[in-house]
Order: sequence, then C-alpha cells, then structure tokens
Amino acid sequence: MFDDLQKKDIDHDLILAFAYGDRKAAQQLTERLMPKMYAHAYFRLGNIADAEDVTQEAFLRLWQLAPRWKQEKARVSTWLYRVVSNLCNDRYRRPKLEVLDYSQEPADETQSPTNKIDEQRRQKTLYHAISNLPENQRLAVQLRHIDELSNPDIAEIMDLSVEAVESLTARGKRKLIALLQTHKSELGYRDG
Amino acid sequence: MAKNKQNPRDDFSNFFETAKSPTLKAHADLKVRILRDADKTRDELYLAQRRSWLGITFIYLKELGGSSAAVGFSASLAAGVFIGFYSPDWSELIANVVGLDALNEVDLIGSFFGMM
Repeated sequence: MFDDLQKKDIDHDLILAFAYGDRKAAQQLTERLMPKMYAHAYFRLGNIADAEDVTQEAFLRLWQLAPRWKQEKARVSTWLYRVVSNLCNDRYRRPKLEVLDYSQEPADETQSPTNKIDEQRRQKTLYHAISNLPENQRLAVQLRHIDELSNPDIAEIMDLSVEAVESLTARGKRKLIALLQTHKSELGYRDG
Repeated sequence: MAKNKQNPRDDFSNFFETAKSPTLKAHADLKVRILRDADKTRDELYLAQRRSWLGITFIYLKELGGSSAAVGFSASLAAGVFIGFYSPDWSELIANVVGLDALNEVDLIGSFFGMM
C-alpha cells in the first residue's frame, strides 16, 4: 500500500516536472514505464514494430497531456496501460498478425541460443492460447497474470467493476488452462 | 529447461513467467524516439504558452484602440515608471513655488469651509 502510494507520487511528480520543462523527468518516466508498456503491447500484438509504435504513441499522448495532468486522475501507469490497451484494440481489429515476430528482436546476450529458442517456443504457445480467448478475457488475464496488476487497477483500465474483472479473469484462466493442456510439450512439460 | 510437471493447473503461474522473460526487451531506439517526442512536445508547449500570452496582450491592446493606443500606452507606462524612479529637478522647483512638498497634506476641506 505504501509502495503504491510512493509509486503514485513519483510518477505524478515526474509528469508535473516534465510539464514544467524538466527533460530528466521525461527520461526517468520513460525508463520506469516504457518496458512494461512495450511488453504489454508486444504480447497483445505479437509484432515488434506495432508494439513499438503503440508504446511511442501512448507516451506521446502522455507528454501532450502533461500540462493538464491532475492529481485526482488515475495513476500515470494505469492511464498509460489504458491508452496502450486501446491502441492495441485498434490495431487488433486489423487483419490477423503473425504470431510473435522475433525476426527483428534485440539480441539478449544473457541467454544461450538453446534456451532462447525454448523460451520463444513457449512464448509462441502461450501467445497462441491467449489469442484464442475472447478479447475481454484475454486483456483481463494478461493484465492480471502477465503485467501483474491488481484487480482495482484492471477495473480502472478496462472501465469495469472489480467483480466483473474477477469474473473475467477466472473464466479466462479456466479456458486458458484447458487450451494449454493440449500444448504441454511446447511449454516444456512432460507427462509421467 | 523442461519441467517435469504432471498438470499445468498445479503450476499455472509458470506459464506466465514465459511472457515476462528478458527476451521481451524493446530496442534502445524506442527510448530515443519517445524522448525525442518529449522534447518536441515540450518545445511546442513552451511556444504555445508564449503565443498565448502575446495573443492575450495583443487582443487587449486592440480593444483599447489598435496599434496607436498600444504605442501610447507603452510610452506612458515607461514614462510613469521612469518619473517614479528619476523625478526631474524642475519638479522640486514647481513644488517650492506652489508651496507643496510630498509630505504636506492638501487641506481641501478647510478651504471649502472657509469659503462658506
């Protein structure tokens, strides 16, 4: 609770500092929130270029809103998730995308090539399974289990009640388990 | 990296760890693009603020009577400020002749009653 309050104050202070012309504030805010927003967009869209465009667009809207940012508004991170989510929805309605495009992904030196291939295979399987959920369930499951947001935050992002979010997440989770049962080997699970 | 699990339901959270892996890193270029947008937006906001102040002043002066009024208003303002700080020597001479200085009160009421 205290951590949440502290986070709120930091992001809020940073956006106000930016509004008063502090460039370092923009840099700090970007470093704090960009990885989460990008990961969210990437996992929803399955495409690096689109995920980057969506993240950039969401931040642009944040910069433009900065001078009118109010204390009583949503937390900066919640607001950004909502914008990223809406932008993803817009793109998601376009023709179906390739499942997780790794062709232009930045190199990660900390992983061996084998581990990386295993992980990419698991990501593709999970992405494919989540893609089969209805859109609302998919978003709720992603926000809850991948982005690790609280139910009240998800409710704010999705503009739903907390009870509705709990129900969506539970149904989405059940359906996802059923879908994943058929892909145990791709996920690195063995029988017996 | 294979996990020996009987049932994914028992270890559901592990599925999602996959999606939080470090392979989901953005290009460094994305941060540069975002900060470039921030700089551009900040410059635009600064210009817009300046324009809005100039615009308000211009509209106000136009209402007062156009550019000639603006020039006259500015000149009288400058003269007023200047005289306030550097009053000319001859102003004291006039005050001595009239018999007034800045500390004397002007007794308008007394003379008014005297006339009666």
